[in-house]
Amino acid sequence: MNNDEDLKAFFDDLRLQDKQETPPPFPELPAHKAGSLRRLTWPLTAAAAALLLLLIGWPEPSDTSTPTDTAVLVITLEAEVTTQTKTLLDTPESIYSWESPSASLIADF
Amino acid sequence: MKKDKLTQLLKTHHTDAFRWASQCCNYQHEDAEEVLQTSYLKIASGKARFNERSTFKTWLFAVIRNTARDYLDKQVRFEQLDPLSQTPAEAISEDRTNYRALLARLPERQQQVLLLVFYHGMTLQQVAETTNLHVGTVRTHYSRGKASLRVLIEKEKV
Repeated sequence: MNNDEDLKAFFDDLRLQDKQETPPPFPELPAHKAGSLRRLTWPLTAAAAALLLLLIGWPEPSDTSTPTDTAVLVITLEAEVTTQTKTLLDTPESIYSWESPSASLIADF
Repeated sequence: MKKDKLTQLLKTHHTDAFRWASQCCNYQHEDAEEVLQTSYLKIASGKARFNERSTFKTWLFAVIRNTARDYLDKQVRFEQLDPLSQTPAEAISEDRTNYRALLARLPERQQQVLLLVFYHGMTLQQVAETTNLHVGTVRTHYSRGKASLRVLIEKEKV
């Protein structure tokens, strides 16, 4: 192994050959327009999102006004002490006023 | 990275960048200038951003290589260039060894790997980052390229 000396010499010669060709002058770089636009992207997005939230999702204002007339209603519950149960029907059913559901089918000619 | 620092770094590497662009464009001077200009515009506009994961030179060379590939693809697609016309034999007198033409006989990947190592002084890891290849693949191209170039140099001597 010759430690690639032959190849190093080859590329040294190539480098010398290339030096005959002068590179063009360094060009003036344009302003970083795209970068500044990218810097503006986030604030613009945030502003648009906030506006959208305002338009769509703004909650209805709740009625926080305090009543001027304050009325106090006091409900008192009194337990009635009794041992008897009461029927919930106010009027008693009469057996004479009862009519069968199929009574209308009976034709009285 | 601030524009002043970026410009300073580009100026520092300008000559090397031009040589690399020229090598990527098969030593076609006008193509190399176009590729270099496009690469600088990509960088200035922020389309290509240096994230400091590699050295600046490695990153710059990768940008130039990708730009050159896109540029040459378009050239071939629209102009159907004759490959023989691209042989870098111009401006070299016949009594001297045409190193460029000799190197051009190697496959493109082998050429680029050898140029990056021996001409531009990169390590195999840096070559892998520049060419977007696995370091094992780069090692293979490196070994095969060296063997092939030695054969070509020997033939030239005879």
